[in-house]
Amino acid sequence: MKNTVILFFMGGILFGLAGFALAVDERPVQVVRVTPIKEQARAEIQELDQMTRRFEHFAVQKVKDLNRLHHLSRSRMQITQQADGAYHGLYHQIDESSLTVNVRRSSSRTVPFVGVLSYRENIFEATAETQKQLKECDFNLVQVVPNRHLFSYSKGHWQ
Amino acid sequence: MLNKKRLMSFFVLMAAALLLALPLTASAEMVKKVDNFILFLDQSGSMVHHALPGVTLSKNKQALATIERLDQIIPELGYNGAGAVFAKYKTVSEPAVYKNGSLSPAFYAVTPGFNQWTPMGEGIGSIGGMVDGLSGKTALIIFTDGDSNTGTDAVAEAKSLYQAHPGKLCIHVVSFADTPNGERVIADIRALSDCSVATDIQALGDDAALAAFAKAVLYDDVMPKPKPAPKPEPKPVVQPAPVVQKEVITFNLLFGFDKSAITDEMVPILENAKMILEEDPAATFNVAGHTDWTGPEVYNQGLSERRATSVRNWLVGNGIPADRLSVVGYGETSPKYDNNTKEGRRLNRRVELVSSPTIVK
Repeated sequence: MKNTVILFFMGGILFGLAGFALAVDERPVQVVRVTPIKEQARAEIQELDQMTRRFEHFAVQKVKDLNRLHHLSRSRMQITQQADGAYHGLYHQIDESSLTVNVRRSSSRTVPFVGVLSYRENIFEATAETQKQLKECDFNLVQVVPNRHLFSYSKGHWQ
Repeated sequence: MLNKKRLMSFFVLMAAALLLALPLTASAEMVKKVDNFILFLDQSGSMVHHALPGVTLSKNKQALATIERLDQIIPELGYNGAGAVFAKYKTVSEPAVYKNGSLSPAFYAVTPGFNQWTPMGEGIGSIGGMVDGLSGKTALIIFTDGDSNTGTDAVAEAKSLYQAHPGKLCIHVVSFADTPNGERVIADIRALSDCSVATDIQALGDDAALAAFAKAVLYDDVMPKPKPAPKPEPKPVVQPAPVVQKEVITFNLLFGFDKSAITDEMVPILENAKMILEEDPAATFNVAGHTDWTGPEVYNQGLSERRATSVRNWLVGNGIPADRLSVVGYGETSPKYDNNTKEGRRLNRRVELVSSPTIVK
């Protein structure tokens, strides 16, 4: 009798354990989705690449504008007459082949990016007997001024 | 007998004529008249959406087809070739050593805006930047109907361009004009210089006419001159190497009118300037304030000093040692850009960090 009770008891325990195991098996597996940090970094890199490409395009046009607007551009060269009667000319021109760009993020929400445009500003001089000859002769490169020009990205465009 | 003699005389005369003519035709060389050429296409609404009477293609498509044909026949004589469009202005092909067929694909790749106005004056003004960067002589070939209807005066802009490049520029117009205004604008531009070769799109339909136009604009057939006696070798002129100045760091902070305070929008630029200053901790700089020429000179002097001081104070307050920076106000006395234009005045309102061996007290 005693053995029977023990057996019943153990069977009950075993049965209960089996049921529990089944219940555990039937519980749905929770899938927890974690966005990898890598994906966020990749998106940021892509955004920076895109902004850099836009800045490159902006920079090319900006340098053309700077050359056109320079108050000592070739078309507005400084001409002075020397003591010997000859004419001396001087003008500035940015070397369009010297452009390099660098874009950085900022912590500002209104100005999220800053672009640095580096270039060489060349200064040319020449001397000739007449002003007409001066404007048609070849000029010599006499000075180079390294420049870094900072621009901000705000309200959807570089400025 | 007599007939044979006459026949022999005839053949001798023909042979002599041939021998005399051969040197005149066999040895002519193509010599370029210009160093650079620019193909410049009008993409305004009147070109894109209208066709000439009796023509199926729009004026723009006719122009593209003509540019493509021209691109196949221009001789490769070492020109710098370039392409651009206006309405709106865009460079489609930067100046580069010209090869046949290299320019027309760039024009086909551009999508014209819908029904654009014709800012021909601004277009000609904008192409001036490209012309400024070219050395030697330049032929500017404009494909347009001349119907300039907005912006600056096209003829005045063309005149300015000629004045800026005396003896070095010639503007040729391939006319698509179908209005009195367009015809007048084109005629007035052509009249600015004797060098201009006039033609219209109807005439260029013929391949021989197109070749003649290209020749008239770009090159001559020249008989080679007899070789002169060799000149003595000139003494080589050694140009000194250019002097490299100290670096200039420039930024345009959008100060309010009569304001000199640093705002939050300026901080990212100043942070970058600070990073540049930190590249060489030993270097000293003058913080130079500049204004445009609007307003009294005395006022501008004070304003430039106040603004330069604000920038210096921000940099010092954010870690740059005070003894590395000094303040200079130049007011309107040292413009870098043309104050006659709005964009030039905006660029003149600037702050520069100029490396200096000694601090200006």
